[in-house]
Amino acid sequence: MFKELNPLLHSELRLAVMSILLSVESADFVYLKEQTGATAGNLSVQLDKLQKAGYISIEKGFKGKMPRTTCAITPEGVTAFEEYVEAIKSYIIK
Amino acid sequence: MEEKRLSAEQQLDLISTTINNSNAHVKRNSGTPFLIWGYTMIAMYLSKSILQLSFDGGELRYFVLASIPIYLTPLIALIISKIVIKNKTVTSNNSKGLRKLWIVIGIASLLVMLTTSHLFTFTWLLAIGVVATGVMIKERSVTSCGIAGMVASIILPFFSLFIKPRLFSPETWTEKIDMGFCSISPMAINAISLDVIMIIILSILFIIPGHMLNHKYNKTEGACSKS
Repeated sequence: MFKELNPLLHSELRLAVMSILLSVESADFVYLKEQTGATAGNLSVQLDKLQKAGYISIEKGFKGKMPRTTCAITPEGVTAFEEYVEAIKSYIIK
Repeated sequence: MEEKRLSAEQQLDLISTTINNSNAHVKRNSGTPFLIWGYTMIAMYLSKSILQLSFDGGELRYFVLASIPIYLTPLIALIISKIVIKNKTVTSNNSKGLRKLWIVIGIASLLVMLTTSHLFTFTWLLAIGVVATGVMIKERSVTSCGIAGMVASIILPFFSLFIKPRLFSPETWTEKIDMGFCSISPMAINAISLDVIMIIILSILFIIPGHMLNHKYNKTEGACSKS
């Protein structure tokens, strides 16, 4: 029996964002945009979805006069990501 | 990155590529803080040595000169760090722990130097910091340099206890050496000899691992491509 895939993570961009945040303590919006190659608008929408699910935390602040959005993965996000990886592994094994 | 459905293999591939790229990006220039602090401390010890050779003074001037590295190093290194490491867009999982570790080591080292000026304790504290950093970032080269620094630090008490009294005792050397443009006092030579040892130890602790880390991780600069 195949494990059910989390629909929130079953998207290329959201999965990439979660993978990046899993490997770092925190990353800002500019870094995520550079690494994923996504547009600012699309990335912003996907980050909002992940935040509403409680998978990431978003902190808005300023660095000097420039606005800065910093994202970090939450413990719920780590658990969801691990479960997702286990689920897709089961698809390959079977 | 477009929204599209990926197969299980493609998703696993995406995850591993993204994590690898992110790790490579985070590790790039990871030796720079070592180099900033290492070169600043060495520059301070060199300046102090040059000043001690240039100005022949009494106890008070000697004390003021000897304290240059203690006061100026943290100030200059922090200013350079602010200028060089700007616009940091990502922080690694270790950075918070490393920052706390070096704040503790820094304060302890500063207190040791301000209260006792005990160079052996000072270099051992720094070496412990380097070894701990190497363990935390899983870099054997950094850990090895920390251990080498600890071993090299043993020269300091050995030099102070056995070599210095024979070379620079008032009985063996009382007169100043006239160099033409300046005269060097035994006190200045005494202090500079310790500075030279300190520069060697600081190079082992900071300069070598700093360059090794930058050389290792800046080679992979092109590998951090957009996924």
